[in-house]
Amino acid sequence: MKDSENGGIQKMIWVVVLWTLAVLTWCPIGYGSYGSVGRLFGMPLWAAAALIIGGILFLTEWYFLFHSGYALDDEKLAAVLNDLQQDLSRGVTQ
Amino acid sequence: MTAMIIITGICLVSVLLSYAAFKQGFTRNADDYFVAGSSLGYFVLIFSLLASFLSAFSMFGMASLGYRTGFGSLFVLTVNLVPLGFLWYFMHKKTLVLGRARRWMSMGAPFGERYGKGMRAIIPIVVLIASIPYLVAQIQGIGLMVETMTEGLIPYKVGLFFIPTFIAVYLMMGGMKGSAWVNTVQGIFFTVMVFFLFGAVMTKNGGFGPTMDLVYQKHPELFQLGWNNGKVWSYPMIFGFATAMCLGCICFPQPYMHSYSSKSVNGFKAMFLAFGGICIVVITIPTLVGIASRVIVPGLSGVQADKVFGMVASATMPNWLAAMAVAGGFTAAMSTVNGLVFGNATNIAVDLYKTLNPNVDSHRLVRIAMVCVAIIMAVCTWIAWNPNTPVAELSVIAFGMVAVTIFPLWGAYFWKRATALAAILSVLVGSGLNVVFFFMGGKGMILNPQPQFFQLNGFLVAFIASGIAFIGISWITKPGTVEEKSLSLFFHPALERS
Repeated sequence: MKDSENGGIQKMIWVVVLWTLAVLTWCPIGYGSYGSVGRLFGMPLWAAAALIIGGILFLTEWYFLFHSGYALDDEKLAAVLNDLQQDLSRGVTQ
Repeated sequence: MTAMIIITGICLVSVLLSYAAFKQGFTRNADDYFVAGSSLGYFVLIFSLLASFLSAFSMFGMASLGYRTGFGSLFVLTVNLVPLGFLWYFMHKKTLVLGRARRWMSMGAPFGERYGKGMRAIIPIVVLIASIPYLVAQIQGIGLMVETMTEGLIPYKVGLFFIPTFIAVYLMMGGMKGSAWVNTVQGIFFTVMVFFLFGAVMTKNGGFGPTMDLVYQKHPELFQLGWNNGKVWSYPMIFGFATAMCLGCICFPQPYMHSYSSKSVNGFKAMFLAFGGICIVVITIPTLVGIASRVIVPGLSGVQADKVFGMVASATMPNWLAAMAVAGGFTAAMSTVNGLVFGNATNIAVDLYKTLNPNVDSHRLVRIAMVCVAIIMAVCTWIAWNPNTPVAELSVIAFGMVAVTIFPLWGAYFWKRATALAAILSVLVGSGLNVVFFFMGGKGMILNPQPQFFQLNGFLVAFIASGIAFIGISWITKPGTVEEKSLSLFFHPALERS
């Protein structure tokens, strides 16, 4: 498999993982239930689970943004701005 | 009286700090006033963005919502905001890059370049209409707390004028740089104070576990999903609140303004990541304080429950510390008013006024923004005169309404087929439906699941309709000259590589 295809699949996996965790922080579906529930650390189980999922999502985002190599960084920004400025000054864009 | 001395002191320090921070820049051009000359580093960005969103809603409103409805409130402004770390990044990556390349200064700039002047002019109007309930919520929260802390010495209607006047003064003087520095100091202050309050409230009944045991014995419904016959914290209700708040955050002016103001990419990523991480701690605390308050200051309901933050502070802390804790809530409200009023004033000056008067000079533009700050503050104070909706509900309505601009934003950055007509109509359909639902069925129709809408709330119906309108109309209309021309900038090969 080519490197670019491999990178595309890995990027897609990141997106799926991030979205799955996001949906779980928007609704306790799958780990909550109506009516009386057990408790953990004084809180209802589903509330404790939601906070733990939120913590996991935070760590996943941190790794994606700063260590995965897929997010924008200052070096990439400088290169992109350079290309854009060249085209803007030539009137290719706008 | 102690409370008023502390609050007045904070206001005066804010005015001085704002003025000093702006003078540090030594310039008075529009770029400095509106986007701080793209000079803000990590620390200021993180706390300024945080403080510009965390508000009377996150302190007084969430304590009140927790008090009234229980643990389901955690899905309104805590865990549900953690996804903003990656959602903000994906949605605003191009805002940062293109903003830097094109020297954008306002929220309407990307919409204007992608869809033309019509869309650029609509954005400030829709965002202003959506912002008003949120701003009113802050001013209302401030008025109620002044009345509570002074035990009626300063009535609600006098308190309404007190702090907004200070805010207008330091915003008009300091611009984005001043606002960011004031937000930062206020953000640190209220973050520290919520920890003090949490400690005091939980210690009152022997710690967090024993306090929650007591609440559970008296009010087990606060620990349940779908209580009150499925009406409170049903799955559709939670999903509606959670998405309205999260998607609304993407669409308010603050992330745009902070993206333009960021000095580095790492600062840009750090502020978005830190926001959710800090919210899950800092807003969970007032929510838990509100729940615990059911056994300390029982019997509050409706708008009166918005006073629970101040009342429980008075019941569990020495007077001077209680005043400091409530002042923390004040600073949260003040910093949000800063961020939102400033963002709206910038939108009106740069997107609306400058579009109509393209030759306006930089100094006049700054003066127009200053006048807008004063007018917006005056209008919101006038609306807050007779409060009848709790702070939390007002805020969710505002976030839900502004969230409809997410489709044109997504289309601008990620969909070449998007057209100007679709962008304009989708925003009008989404915001129009929110207004119609509000007048038809009041706040309940927007916030609560409706049987006629398959158990979705009005916000979600308006949001889905807006999305369908955007996709559908883009498919059946052809991109015009402006959209075609914008593709070379918005889909430049260099951007695709990043």
